[in-house]
Amino acid sequence: MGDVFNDIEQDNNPSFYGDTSILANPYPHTRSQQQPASPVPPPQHSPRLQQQPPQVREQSPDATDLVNSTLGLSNKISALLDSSDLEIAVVASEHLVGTSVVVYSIQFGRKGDSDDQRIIVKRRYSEFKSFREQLLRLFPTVIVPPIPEKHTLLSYLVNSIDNSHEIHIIDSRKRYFTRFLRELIFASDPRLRQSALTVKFLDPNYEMAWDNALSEPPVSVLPKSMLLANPVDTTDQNGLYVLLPSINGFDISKSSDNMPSLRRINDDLAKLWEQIQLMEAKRHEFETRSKMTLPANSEDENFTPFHNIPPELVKFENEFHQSIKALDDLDKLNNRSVKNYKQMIHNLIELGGNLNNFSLQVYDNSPGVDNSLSAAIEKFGSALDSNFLNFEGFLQDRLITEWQEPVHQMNQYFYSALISIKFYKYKVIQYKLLYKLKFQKYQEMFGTVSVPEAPGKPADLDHLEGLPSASLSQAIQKIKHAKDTGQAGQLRQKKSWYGIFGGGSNYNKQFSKRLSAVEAEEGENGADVGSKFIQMERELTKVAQLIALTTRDMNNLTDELIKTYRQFIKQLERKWLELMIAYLRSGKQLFEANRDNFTELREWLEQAP
Amino acid sequence: MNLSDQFTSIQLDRDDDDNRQSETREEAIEEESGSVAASDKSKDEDGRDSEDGDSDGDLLIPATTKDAPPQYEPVDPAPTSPELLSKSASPPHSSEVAEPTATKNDIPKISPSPELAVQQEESPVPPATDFSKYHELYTLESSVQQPIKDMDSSSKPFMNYLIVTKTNNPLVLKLNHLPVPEESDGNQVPDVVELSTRRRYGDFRYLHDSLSKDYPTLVIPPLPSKSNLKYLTGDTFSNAFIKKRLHSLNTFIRFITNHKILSQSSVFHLFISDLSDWNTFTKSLKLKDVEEQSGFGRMNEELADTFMNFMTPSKYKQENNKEILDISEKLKRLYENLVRLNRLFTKLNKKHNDLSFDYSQFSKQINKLSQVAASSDSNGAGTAAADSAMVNNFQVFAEALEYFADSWKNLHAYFDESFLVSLKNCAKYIVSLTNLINLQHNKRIDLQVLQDYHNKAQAELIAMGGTTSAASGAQGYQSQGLVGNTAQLIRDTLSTSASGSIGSASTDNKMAKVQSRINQLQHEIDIQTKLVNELTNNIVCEEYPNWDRFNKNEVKEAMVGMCDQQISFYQGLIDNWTDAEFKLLKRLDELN
Repeated sequence: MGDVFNDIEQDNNPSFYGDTSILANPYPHTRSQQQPASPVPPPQHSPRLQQQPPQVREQSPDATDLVNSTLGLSNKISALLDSSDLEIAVVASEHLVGTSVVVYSIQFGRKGDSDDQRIIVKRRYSEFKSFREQLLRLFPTVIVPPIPEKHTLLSYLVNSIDNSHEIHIIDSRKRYFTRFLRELIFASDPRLRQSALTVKFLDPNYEMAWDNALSEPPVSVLPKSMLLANPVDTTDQNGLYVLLPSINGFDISKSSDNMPSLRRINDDLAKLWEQIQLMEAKRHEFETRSKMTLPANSEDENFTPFHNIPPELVKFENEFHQSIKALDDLDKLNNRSVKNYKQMIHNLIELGGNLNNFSLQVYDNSPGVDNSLSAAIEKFGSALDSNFLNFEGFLQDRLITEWQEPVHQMNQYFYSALISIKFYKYKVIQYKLLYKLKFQKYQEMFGTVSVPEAPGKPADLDHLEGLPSASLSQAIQKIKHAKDTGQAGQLRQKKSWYGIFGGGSNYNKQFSKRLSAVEAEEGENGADVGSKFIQMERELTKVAQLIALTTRDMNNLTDELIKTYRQFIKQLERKWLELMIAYLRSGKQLFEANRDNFTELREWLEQAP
Repeated sequence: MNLSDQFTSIQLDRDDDDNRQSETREEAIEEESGSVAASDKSKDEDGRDSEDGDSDGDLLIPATTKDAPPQYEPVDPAPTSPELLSKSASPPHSSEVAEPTATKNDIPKISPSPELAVQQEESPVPPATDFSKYHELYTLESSVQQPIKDMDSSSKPFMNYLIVTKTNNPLVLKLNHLPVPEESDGNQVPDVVELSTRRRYGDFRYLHDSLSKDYPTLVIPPLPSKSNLKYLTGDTFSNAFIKKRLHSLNTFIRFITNHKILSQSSVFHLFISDLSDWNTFTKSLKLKDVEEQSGFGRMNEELADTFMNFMTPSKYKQENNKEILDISEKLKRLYENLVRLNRLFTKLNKKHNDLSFDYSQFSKQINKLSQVAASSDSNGAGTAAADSAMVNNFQVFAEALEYFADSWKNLHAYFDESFLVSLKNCAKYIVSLTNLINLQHNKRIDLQVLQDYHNKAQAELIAMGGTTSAASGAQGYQSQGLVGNTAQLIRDTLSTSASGSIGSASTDNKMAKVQSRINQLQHEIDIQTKLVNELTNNIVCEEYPNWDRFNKNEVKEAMVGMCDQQISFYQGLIDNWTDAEFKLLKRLDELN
């Protein structure tokens, strides 16, 4: 009895992690974390949670060792992830004691490692899901391998009735997760596997502390909306990004895309470009009239304007949509074939049984009777039986796992690709929004500085006031009113444009507040027009900086996406090839087994009397 | 073959039949009017069997049974036996005395029939020759092939089947005016010749009906059903239908050639020979359309029910021959299993069809994917090469899948047109054999009735003799207590009719009458017992083993055929897919 408690004591003792043997053998005997012998299972997780992350624990005399070993483990994992002879798989699943939560054991190590040398980490579905979502946020231009969809309420209800169905789902998820991990590491952008988050996901020290991993860098440095980050390097801490307008309704983890197609957005961009030309012309006219220079785009030599979306990208989107359509149909077809195969197997089972019964009924045990018919029928029955076994094996081990599921996953890949396209679309709109802002600022400037001779002075309209024109005096009234209410108000009034792109008035307020807050730091709010003008000039400079930044980002993002998609399409061919070859191979295996089966029956029939 | 439309010709046949039948029916009714002994059991056969005796078959019998070995007794007298039975089962008939005489006359008339036949036919084969040995001595193999759509004189289409026969059977050779070695002494076997002729379904039917008529004690293989319904819809010319029919016709012919008596029948020889004699023969003789009468078409669907009825032991008297019971039991089990198997295989085959459809859809879908890849072909110089390779990959795969779908469709067609037809045929042949057993059974019942009547008459005689009148009669009842109710009923009726006549005429006269009736009956019983025993014997020793052999062979052939089909199905797929795999692997190597 004492020994049992000792064991538990030791297992729950954080110093256990200080043991150097953990490096080579983090989970001895690969036994389950739950002690079946434990007299009190429920409080078992909480101590674990507390002891994570291990760095926090100080009471252990080996605190430094602990840190070292933890670092060592994560270094080891990083090294493993980069090595080509890594083997990784989801090997088991189990229910957390007392709950319906299922955890999946990921086992990985070098090729040739024994089970003891391999690292095991247990993750639940929701952890896989949030891991993937964070990867999406960290690398919006990368296609992250998909994981299976959360099962629907219906399938959940079915589960509670039908236990075998749940087992079926868990098995299927184990395969999906294995594929996810393998493709993440071997067949995706190297940034994914090199990310600290990936290492943490596979680190047993973070096993019960996934939330900690999410509250640490790199995830913690990400802005709330991915539109407010450098799209190519999301952890870029450039302060300007905070100033970018964010757009409502953007959620990178959702695959739904209600935006117009890239082609249409491209048309909008062309219109925007016309407006830009118009504005520039106006600015030029203004500048010559007022003899002053307005802050324009930073015209350094590296600056390439972002005019339109390259046709290649537009084509990619189109192709993705077509592929999804075709794959959706293929998915349905696969499900139907699997169903038909299942029914056929059922028929074969029934036939085999009946033939067997048949042969028994026909069998005549009186001496000297020729029972060749009975024997032939029995042989026939057993041939059909092994036929059914072959088909069953083909269906369960091949067709479902090597075709149906990968094809479904392929479809999910296209959906993933569409998510990055959606991100791109939002970035384009953000880009357009910035130009619109610039136009507004220009308009304001043009309005404020209507008399070029007196820069810095309020426009003197008094000499016009007595004129006998109703319309003229109305206009003067308006201008005066506008001056009174201030620029911010004017900005707010001209917000109709934003509405189209989901940027509500709410956003505008926030954005201009943020922008003016920045401005406020730089210069005092003078009541006179001169200081107002200076403020506007500063705002314009900021907007110009943002445009420059975004233009650079857009160009980078476009290049990055095209690169990603080209890579994706290239990999797709390989993936399809592998799938098709696997299909043909497993088909052949089935055919050969069945052919041999019937050949054997035929030979038996030949030699039979 | 007369060239008038088959459909119409059958109609004519039927009309003819109906007329003749109503005549015979009337006769039967006349006979029965006075009759009290005609049991329900024998009534059915009255209509049919009595006709065998007095129809124009009288002409036919000597002609067609000429090949039947005289040693093989059950065959020759058999045609007459039902008539004899039914007639004798109605003793109070006015011509009751004459009838047995007529039957007696029938027997000698038929017994020398081979000689008669020989004299009539050009065949110089001496009557002493044992034709049953011909089956082992000479080969006779026929097969039905190459169905061709043809037009008859009224330009109605019909299917024509080529019948190819390889034989060295002297009977056939002679019929075809081919040289036959003089007096073959067993060692000298004539060369095998190949005969071929075209026959249509109606001819097969004619052959079947003739054989049924000539050999009522043998299992005559059933023909594929006429399918009048399909005839109307024009489905009779669909590929599947023709193949199925061809398969069944082949089984039909195979059964005949494997049967040692049927294979030597001259009707069959005429059938396989390309001679005008066949047409003359079929034209001049309208056979009663037995099949339509017995509802042959039902065989297919309601097979089970019909069969089960046959299998239910008669209420009148249980079959007590152990061997027959054994056979019946075996047949029943086999039949039930075949029906179940047929159902299961049909289900399985439906799945074959579904999956074949799935795979062709699958192939189409893959083609769509290749189109998507093709549409992105113009994407840019960098990806064009990869895309066209991808299109190619998809096409290779789609072709492989299409091949799978097609092969599966063929397998489905094979199951539908051959394997399942074989199973169905096996079941049908069981029904034919059961019909024969049923005939035997009914005859036994008739014999029982005769015997009952005989006993009754004897009891009557004793009663008239006076001394032990009531007591012995009662004892007679007691001793025959085993006999069922129906028998008692008959007996009672007889007894009253007899007692009615006792009152009016002189006892001596009556006693003499009764005595003569008893003698008559005794004679009948002797003949019948012999016939029935021979029939039973024939079933147990000849027809059942023959069928069993045939059935085993058919089942085996069906299985072997299916194996071959499956093997070639899989082998074809392996070859095709290996090829596709090779192409895809090559491309994968290029990528690496």
